[in-house]
Amino acid sequence: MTTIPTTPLPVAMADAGDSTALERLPSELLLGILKNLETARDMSSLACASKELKRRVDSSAAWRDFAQSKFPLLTIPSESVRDWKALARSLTYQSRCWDRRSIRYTGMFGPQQPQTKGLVFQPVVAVDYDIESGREVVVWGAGEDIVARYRKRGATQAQAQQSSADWRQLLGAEHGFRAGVDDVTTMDIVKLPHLKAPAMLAGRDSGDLSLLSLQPDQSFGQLHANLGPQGTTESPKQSTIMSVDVFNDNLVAACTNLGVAIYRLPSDDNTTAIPPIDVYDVLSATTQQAYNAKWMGGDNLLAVALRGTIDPLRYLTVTPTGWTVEAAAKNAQVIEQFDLKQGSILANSLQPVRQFPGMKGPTPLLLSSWKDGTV
Amino acid sequence: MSDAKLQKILLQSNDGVTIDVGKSPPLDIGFWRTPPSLYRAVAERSVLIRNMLEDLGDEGIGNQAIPIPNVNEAVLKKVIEWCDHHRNDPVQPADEEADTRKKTTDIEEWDQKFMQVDQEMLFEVILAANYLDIKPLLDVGCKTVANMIKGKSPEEIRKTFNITNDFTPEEEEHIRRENEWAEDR
Repeated sequence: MTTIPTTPLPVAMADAGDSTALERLPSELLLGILKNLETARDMSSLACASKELKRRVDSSAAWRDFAQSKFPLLTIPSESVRDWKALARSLTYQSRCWDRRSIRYTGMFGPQQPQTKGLVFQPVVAVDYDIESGREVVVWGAGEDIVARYRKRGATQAQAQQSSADWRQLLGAEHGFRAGVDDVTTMDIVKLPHLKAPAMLAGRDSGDLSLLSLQPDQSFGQLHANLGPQGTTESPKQSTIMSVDVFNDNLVAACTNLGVAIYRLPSDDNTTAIPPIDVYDVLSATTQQAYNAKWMGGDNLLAVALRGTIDPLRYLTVTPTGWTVEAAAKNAQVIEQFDLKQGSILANSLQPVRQFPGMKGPTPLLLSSWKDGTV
Repeated sequence: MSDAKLQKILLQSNDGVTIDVGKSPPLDIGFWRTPPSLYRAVAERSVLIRNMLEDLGDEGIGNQAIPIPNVNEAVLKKVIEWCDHHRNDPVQPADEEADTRKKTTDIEEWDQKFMQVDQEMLFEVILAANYLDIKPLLDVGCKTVANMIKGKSPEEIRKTFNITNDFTPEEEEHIRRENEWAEDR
């Protein structure tokens, strides 16, 4: 039995007042209780019980806690949000849409055709939403082209209805990119202090990794800088950017066929060629390939997914003198219990999670999915 | 060892009853006298009391009872019972803000039984835990109340907590519509 008796319990009225013990509870204690509620429905049901409860549940602090703790993967800047209830509402709505859509998709596609060649399709899309200005940017790679959509979204209904989209397109052919070999493989949006607008990082199948302007005007798509090993002709040419992950709008971890390269993004306009600070070379050893690398919430620990090796998940620690590599083992007990064959990792599933929502700093936890069905 | 000097820790409830920490639950088993360090472990579940003991020192307290002006005898005994059961729990780091945000609503079995009291006592225990600064107990209390709210309609919540519906039917309809988005979530 894990339930608490929920039948009405006799409440002896200590005071002669109209309000009950729950309504009289000091705010910080009521917040303590609300933090333990898991759904928006419980929150609103409580708010509907009486005027006093409505006043207190609808206070900003309660919905702020709700939004921050129920959507831990988002980092919401607390200073810039004014209406936490509206934000919680919007997040709830969006997550519900995702839930429904995933069910719908299963129904729409039949059994998957086996992939015959090439990479498994990975969505090449990046989103940035600036809460303060309500400005939303979506960029995606369409073959060798890059498309961006700008939208302004208001917090209020009236503003939202007025929102209109602005589109920009970067035609790859105009910049010397060829279809196929120069297809965009990965994208991310970064905000650099010296640039007014955000910039985008685009990695291509050919190994080109560039920082491009994302300003919605004439300069859209203009090259800020190229990232890659430079000058040395004897080093093997970089090809196929598999993934990029940016920490703190500053450190970039890029997975390429050569391994994992780390770049520091420029802080002024004068740098146009950025060599890596460090490269973790996986290719030299074996046939293994790095597929994805994610920062573990700090600037010195990376989780890397690899293929062609028996240790498909590794942790890289960046130290001033080089790298320390640690293979992350899957739980031996789990393997035994379910009689798992050597499964490979789903490379794009890496997602560092925080143990407690709202916690700052490095996180010790990582979510990963494996092709054998374990997470 | 300064512990040897401190024979017992006495707390005085707001209704004037002096309670010997370590006596109220049956810790004295025949010839086995509860060592003074145990009294301490029990009392120090409360950060308020721990700080007080540190500030005053053993000599400062002597055999005086520490007045706990916000808590009555029944509630104080209940709280000491909890502290006694949990006296060996690891002390939590003081600033762990994340702790209160821990999502889990699991309550260990002993605590569940402990919390099976009438609502007045439940809220009194929460208030006392807050005043005495016993975070884990406060957590358990909040989770217990949260579990009583979960999955209930507004009307069921009113029944559970004896809340009077002070909305007019029109107001209620308006609020219901305003909060429609939260349904089935």
